Amino acid sequence: MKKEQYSISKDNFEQCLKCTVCTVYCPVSSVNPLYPGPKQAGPDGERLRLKDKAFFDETLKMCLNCKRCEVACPSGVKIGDIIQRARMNYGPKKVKFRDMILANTDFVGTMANIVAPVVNFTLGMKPVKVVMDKVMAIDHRRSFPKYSGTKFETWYKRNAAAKQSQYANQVSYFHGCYVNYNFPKLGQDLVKIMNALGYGVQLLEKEKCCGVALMSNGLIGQATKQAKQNVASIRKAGNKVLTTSSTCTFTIRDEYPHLLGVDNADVRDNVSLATRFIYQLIEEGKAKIAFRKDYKARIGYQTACHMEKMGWKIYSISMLKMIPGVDLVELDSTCCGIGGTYGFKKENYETSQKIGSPLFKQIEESGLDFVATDCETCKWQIEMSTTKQVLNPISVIADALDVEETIKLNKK
Amino acid sequence: MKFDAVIIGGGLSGLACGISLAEAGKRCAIVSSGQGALHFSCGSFDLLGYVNGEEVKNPLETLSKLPQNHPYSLVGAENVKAISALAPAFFEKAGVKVNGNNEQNHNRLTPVGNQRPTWLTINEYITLDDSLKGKKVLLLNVAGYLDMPVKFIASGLEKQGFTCDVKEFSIDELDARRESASEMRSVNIAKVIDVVGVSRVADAVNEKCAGYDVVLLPAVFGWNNNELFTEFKSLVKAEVKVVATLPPSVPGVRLQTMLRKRFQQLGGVVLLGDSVTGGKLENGKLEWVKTNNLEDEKLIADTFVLATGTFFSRGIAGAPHEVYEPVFGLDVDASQGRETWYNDRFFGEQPYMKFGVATDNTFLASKGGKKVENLYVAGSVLSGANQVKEASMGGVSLITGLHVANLIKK
Repeated sequence: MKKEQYSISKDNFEQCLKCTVCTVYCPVSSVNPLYPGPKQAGPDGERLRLKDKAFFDETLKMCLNCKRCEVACPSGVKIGDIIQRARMNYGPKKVKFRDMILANTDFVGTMANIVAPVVNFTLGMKPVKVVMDKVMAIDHRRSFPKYSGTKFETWYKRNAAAKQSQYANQVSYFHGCYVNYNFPKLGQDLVKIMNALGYGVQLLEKEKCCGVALMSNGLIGQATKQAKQNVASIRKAGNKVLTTSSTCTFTIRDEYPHLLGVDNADVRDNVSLATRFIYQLIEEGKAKIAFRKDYKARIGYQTACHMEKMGWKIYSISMLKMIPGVDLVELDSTCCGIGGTYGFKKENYETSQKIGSPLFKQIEESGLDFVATDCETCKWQIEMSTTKQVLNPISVIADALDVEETIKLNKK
Repeated sequence: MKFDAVIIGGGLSGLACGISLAEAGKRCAIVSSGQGALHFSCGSFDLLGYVNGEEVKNPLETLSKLPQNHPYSLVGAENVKAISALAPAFFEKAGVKVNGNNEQNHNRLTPVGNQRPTWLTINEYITLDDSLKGKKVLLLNVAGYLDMPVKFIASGLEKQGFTCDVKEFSIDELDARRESASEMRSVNIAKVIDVVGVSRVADAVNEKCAGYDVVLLPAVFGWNNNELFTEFKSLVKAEVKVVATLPPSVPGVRLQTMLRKRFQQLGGVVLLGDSVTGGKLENGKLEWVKTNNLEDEKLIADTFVLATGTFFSRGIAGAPHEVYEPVFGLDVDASQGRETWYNDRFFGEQPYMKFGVATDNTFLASKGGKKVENLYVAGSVLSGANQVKEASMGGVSLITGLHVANLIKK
C-alpha cells in the first residue's frame, strides 16, 4: 500500500479532530436537515470516499461553498475544499442546461447586453418567469440583476482609456462579469478614485469570467481554461491587479491553485481587492485621500462569505470608517443565502431565503440608510429581500470623495 | 496597522485579556485561528477542584499547596483572590449570569452523569448542590437527540442519591430535523427553537412534566439569544434546568459570541480564521507580527499576548523528539526524552498535560533563555497546570488572561 496516498492531503484532511466546531457555522445544515453538514460531508465522508467512491453522496451539491466551516475550524482543515473536490471528482459529469446558462456569465452577459432593454423587460415579466421556472427550474420568485446597455469595457475604451497614461503610477483592473455586463458604474467609480489618487487604471489584455460559477456548476474543464487565461493575463500585466468583487478575488487567488490546480504562485500577491490596495497606500503614506464634508450616511456592512474567508473585511471597514460622516454598523457576519448561482435554482430557493432571514431582519431593524458589501451576489439577494439599497464600498468611497481636494493632495 | 496590543488566540484567556485592555481604552486586535474551546464548554469554570488527588472544598485556601511553577502560584494568591472575585461581574458585563464563588466549590453534573467540583456555572445549568433531594425530577430529552446520554445521566444521578424519570418530547419542526441523524445536533436544535419560539416548546414540555418538581433538559436553548431561556423558564410549570451536552455546547458558543461582541463594541478588532505566521523578534523585543491572511501587512504593537491554548488548539506542538511552541519557537517546559512524556495508564497523571510555554511571575515569554520584554503569555498555553486532573479549566485561562491585562496596564 502506498501510505502517502492516504496520509498526505492538500486539504489538511488528517488534521480533523472531529471537534464539531464547523457544524455550528454551516448556513445550509442550520435550515435544511437534508444536508449532512460540513463534518459529515467533508472529512468524515472523505474517509469513506477514499476507500470507495460509491460513498459519494448526491446531497453534497447542497453545499453553497461559503467556506464558513473553514473559518471556524481550529485545526486548519479545508472542509469546503474537501467537499468541492469530492463533487468535482465523484459527482455526476453531465451538466444540466440550466446550470450551463447560469454558469456562463460571459456568454450570456454578452448576448444580453446587446438587447439589454428587451432582456430586462422580459426577465421581469411574470409569464417569462413562470416559463423559466417550469422549463429551466430557475425560481420564479427570484428577481434578476439588470443588464446594462453598454458594457464596462466599451465605456472604458470610449471614455477612459486614453487618459490613463498621464498618471505616473499604473494599476490593472479585473472588473469581473458583474461590472462589465450589469453594473459598469462600480468600475467607473474605481477609475474615478484611482485617478484622483494619481493612479492610471488599465484593463487586462484578456479577461475571462473568474469561473466561480463554472466550478460550482461542474464545468471544470472550461473553468480551468479560463483560469489559465486569466493567470496569463495577470502575469503579462506585471503590476498590481485590483478587483472590486470579493468572490472573484478569492477564486483567482485561492480556488485556482487549490481546486483547479492552476499555478498562480508568482502572481497571487499581485491580485488585491481595491479597498485593501487603497488602505495600504494611505497607511504607507504613498497617497492621501479627502472626503466631502457634507457626506452623511448610516451604513450596515455585510461581510460576504468569501470576504470572511480571505480575512480582508478589516480593509473595507477601515476605508469606510475613514469617511468622517459615516456611521458604520458591522452586521453579524453571516451568509445571505444566495451563494452565487445557488439561490437562483428552484430547488434551493427556500433554503436560500431561510439562510438569509436573520440578516434581512437585522438590516431592517438597524435604521440604516443603506448596506455596503464587497460581493455582487449579496447585493442582489439583500436588495431583493429587504427594503435597502446595497453599494460596494468602492462606490461609497467614490460618492464621498472630495475629488479636487484629493487630486491636489496627491500632486507632487 | 498599529495597535496598543495584539493578542494571539481568541479563546477565553485571549478574549478576557482583550476585553480588559479595551475597557482601559487600549486599541487591541485578536488573531484567532478558528473558534475557541468555549465551543466545548460544559457551562462551568473550574478554579481548583483537586490537589494531589484530593478534592478541594475551598480553592483559595488550597492555592498554597500548588507547586511554585503553577500559573496560580505565579499570579500570586492575593491576585488570584482579587481577580476571581471579579470574574462573575466580568461575565455579567458581557450579558452572562453565573452562579458560584471562589471560597466554596459546588458540584456540576458532567455530560456523562458524573459529579465534579467547580467554581462558576452559567445560571441555566443544573448544579448538584441545588436541593434536588426529595424532589420529583424528570430528565426530558428531545426525541432523536443523541448527544445527551440519558441513561448515563440518570444512573449518575442515582449514584449521587437523586432519582429521576426519563422521557422525551418533540414538536413537528424538531421532528423534521431528524431527517439527518448526524445533524440532529445541539446547535441545530437551538436554531430551530430560535425560529419557532419557546412557547410551543414549553407547551410540549408541559404535557410531559405534570407532577414533577424539576425538569432537566439538554442545553439547546438560545444559540444567539440570551433571553430565550429566561422566557422559556417562565412558561414551564416545573423548575427548569439544563444539562451539559456533548459538543458543540450551545451556551458555550453563545458565551464566546457575547464575549467577542463585547470586545468589538469596545473597539477591538477580531481577525477570525487567521493565524500569526511569525514576526520580527530582535534584541528581546517583538516589533510586529504577520498573519496568513494579511500577508505583507505588519501588525505593529507595543505589547503582544500569546494565548494560543493547549496541544488541542496547537498552542504547543509535539514532534517525535521535541515539544515546541510553533509561532515563535519560544522556550517551553517539557521533560526530556519522549518516553518521559507519557504514563502508560491512560487515565493516570500524564506528564505532557503540564507542558507549555515557560515563564515566571512577569508572565513574559523567553526565547533561547532570553526574555522578550513585550510578549506576555496567558491561558492554557502556559506550563505547570494539568487542568483536567486538577479541575482548573476555565480558571487558569480567565485568571491569567485578566492578570496579564493588569500587568500590561501597569
